[in-house]
Amino acid sequence: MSTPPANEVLRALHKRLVEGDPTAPAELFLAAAGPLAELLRGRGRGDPAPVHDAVVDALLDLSKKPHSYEPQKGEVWTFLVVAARRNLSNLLRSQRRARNREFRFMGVAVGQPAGNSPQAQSGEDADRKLAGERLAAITDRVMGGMNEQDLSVLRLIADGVRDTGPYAHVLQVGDLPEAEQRRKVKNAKDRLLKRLRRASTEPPNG
Amino acid sequence: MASGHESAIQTAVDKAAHDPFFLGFLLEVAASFGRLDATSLATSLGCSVDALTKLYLCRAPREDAAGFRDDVQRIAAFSGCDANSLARLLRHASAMGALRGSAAPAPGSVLLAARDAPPDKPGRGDHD
Repeated sequence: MSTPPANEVLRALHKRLVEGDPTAPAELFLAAAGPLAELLRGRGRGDPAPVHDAVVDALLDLSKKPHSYEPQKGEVWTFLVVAARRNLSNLLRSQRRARNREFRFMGVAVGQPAGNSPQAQSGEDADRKLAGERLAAITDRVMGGMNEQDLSVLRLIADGVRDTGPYAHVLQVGDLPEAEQRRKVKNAKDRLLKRLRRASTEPPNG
Repeated sequence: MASGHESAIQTAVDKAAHDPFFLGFLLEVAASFGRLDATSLATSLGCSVDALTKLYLCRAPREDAAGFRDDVQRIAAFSGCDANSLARLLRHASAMGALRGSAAPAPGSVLLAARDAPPDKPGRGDHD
């Protein structure tokens, strides 16, 4: 278990950063990276990479902009912990957004609203709730204006159906010549996918 | 398997290797132009491969002559490398980077590559 560096050690390192000592960033990283990573380890959802990125970015920011820390507002360690947690929260949120984009078809839910569960106050639940609400807003906007025929076509797309037949049946164009069926099916799929793409890139309230 | 501390430091080294604020950036440029692996780089600086971690995470020296000299002395004393060798290598890296127009090193870093290598392979030197 890593022990956080003593406050006076970090204060002295910060003073050296302000004075421009070229070795101070290295000493700061060596002293604080391990303990900070240890502290945030449980927040990385089993993946140490975002924790390390968050920790290193916090130390990197302080090394480059030592005046961003104001001694009268608290200890350097507290400043670093807050910055690293914020970085981690932002990183995890970005990862979730990227994952949600992959699941945009058919409004795959990413989580349930936190409600009154004991963990409702945790950052993770709050983030999940927010992501769920955003996705629900997108889903409502996309699905709200769709008729049963559109939804049936989307279900076929989501199921990976590639044959024209099932789509033609849903679209009630099975009596048309085959080339015409393909054209009608393609138009319907393109229209729906375009609508989904647009909805997934617009802000939830846009 | 690397400990949390080691992994965090490796992440820091990797970022330093791609950030001109850090000495690691210039060392990567020097290694790239000289086709040096971590062991060769450490040898040319008169230090151990482990000491390279400290070097990578130092701020790059100031560019004015007096500032450069002072910073190199401090960095050399801190890391245990030879100040003259470090100064020579950094001037060479700066010149090469300027000649090329862009001093950005390739993805990855020679130091990380050395750490990722199996223990019996060259590049994981145990100098000191």
